[in-house]
Amino acid sequence: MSFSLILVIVLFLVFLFLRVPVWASMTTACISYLLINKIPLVSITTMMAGGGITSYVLLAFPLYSLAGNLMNRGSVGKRIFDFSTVNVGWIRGGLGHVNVLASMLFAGMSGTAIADISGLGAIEIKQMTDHGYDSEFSVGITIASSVVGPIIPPSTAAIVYCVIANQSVVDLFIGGFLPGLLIGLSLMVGIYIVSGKKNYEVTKRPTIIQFIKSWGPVLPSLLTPIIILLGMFGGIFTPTEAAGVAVIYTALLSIVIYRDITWKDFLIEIKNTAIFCAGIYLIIASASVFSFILTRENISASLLQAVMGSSLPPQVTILLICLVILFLGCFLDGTTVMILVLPIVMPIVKALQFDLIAFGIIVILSAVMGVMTPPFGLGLFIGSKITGLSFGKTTKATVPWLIPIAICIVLMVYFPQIVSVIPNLLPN
Amino acid sequence: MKNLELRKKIVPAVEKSLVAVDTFALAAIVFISIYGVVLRYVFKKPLFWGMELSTSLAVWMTFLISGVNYKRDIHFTVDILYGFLNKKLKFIDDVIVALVTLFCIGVCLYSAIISFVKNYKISMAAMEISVSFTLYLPLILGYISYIFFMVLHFVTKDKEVKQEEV
Repeated sequence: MSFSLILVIVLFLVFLFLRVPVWASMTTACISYLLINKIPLVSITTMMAGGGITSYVLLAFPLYSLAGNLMNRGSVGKRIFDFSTVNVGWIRGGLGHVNVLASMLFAGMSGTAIADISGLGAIEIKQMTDHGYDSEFSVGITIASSVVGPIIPPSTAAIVYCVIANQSVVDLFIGGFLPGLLIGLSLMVGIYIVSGKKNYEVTKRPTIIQFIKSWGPVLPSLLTPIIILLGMFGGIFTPTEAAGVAVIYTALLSIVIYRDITWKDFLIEIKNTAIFCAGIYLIIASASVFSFILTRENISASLLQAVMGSSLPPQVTILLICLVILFLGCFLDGTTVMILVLPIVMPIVKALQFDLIAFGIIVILSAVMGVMTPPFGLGLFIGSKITGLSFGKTTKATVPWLIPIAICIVLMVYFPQIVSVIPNLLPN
Repeated sequence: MKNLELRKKIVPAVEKSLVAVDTFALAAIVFISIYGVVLRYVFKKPLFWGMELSTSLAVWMTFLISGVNYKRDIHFTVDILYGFLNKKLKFIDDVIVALVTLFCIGVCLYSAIISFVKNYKISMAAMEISVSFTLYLPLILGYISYIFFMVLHFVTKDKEVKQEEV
């Protein structure tokens, strides 16, 4: 590793901890490298404006974010919650299971964990506390169940992974179904065990008529992921066009059919999404300069040599990568962590011949766990705000739910078939 | 006092204009993605410039709003140390952050202007528009707006507070 690269890393970390914006920390650190190595500074613009952000597939990121925000603004969350209450509210743990199922269904429309906590979470926590569930349990399970958001398709994090790792969006979307189900089930088992001692209120088991009726209000919104996946898999549209279709479909659903939001709300959501996504895109733009430096320094080859020389089993190496991502996720947004780490680790994962679709889901899950880990878990802040509990209490209530999710990660590392079985079954 | 009133009119106007262009860029991306599908399946006529225009709009969306994001303090940052600092140290940290960011933007702006001038005669592949306008102009405008809002934050804010107190 050259002196200039060490300087880049040190400067980047120093600036980051001084609270310089991530994009500026990275770009400034990279400028020092360009100056030392006498690389023309004009190349910064070429890399930033012509690099990762001009990827057409990446355009699906703001579009899915917009579709999720539109769903979140309307009454879809409430409809999904009511549907889940009828169908799983009768099991021991009652609204805890409702919370998990609702998050799983909402994940099929929103694609981010934060949308789940801030939108659906507020409904879930209120209903749970109103029915005698303690705030700690309610907030803990709400934050934990939100991690299925980016796992079950569509997922904005999956788009970012596919762009960086050069993988198929369709495969990653389809591969996310079983892991999403696995996480949901593991949380439900946890709820079932915890609720044994607490005697929480449950609803009546639904009759067949009630079961059929419960589908009516949610069916149009549940069609969103199906339309996206069928369209993409059938070759009707590209992942980016599918995201555009998702936006128009959710807009029509919320404005015309459900009549929850107005055209003005629609415009406001476009504005909010554009502002949010510009922040992520700016980091991707500066990461292009960082990637150039990593490539020039051949850092992946050096790391690869070190990993291969260590004779660690591939699974342990993958778990170590997950730990690094999880650690970084405690301080940074999940997508940012992926943008920073993936260019470095992808050659290692490829050399280990680990399934890249399974790795994608594992990475996304590890990164998104950052929403539920202190000191900067955004989910913890939102949960704390909704319940009025202190940040410490919210953290304490949430951390135990990391266990079932961590178990799921270990299972996927040792049995990547959990992810790859469905994509492998489908024809190319 | 006159300057203050002028500033109160100009700053929101600049901010609103930048946000409006940003909103338009994302709305246009949505429209183009759907328009492409409709043209392909209904009119059997694929949209050959759609991909290029959408990605160019993404560049506009990204850079143009960077100054506004600074003003609203919504750039992604790590606050782990900042939270422990007292008011005085926070101010010092703010100044350091501003200097680092200013240096970064200064270099990026220089780089963007050089790129704009050098690539002026090069057109995009599908659209007959100069690369300088589609890819490099938003960077220049974005960096200028960033500097504008930074200067405003550090130079005018305290004066305004003092004047209002008077």
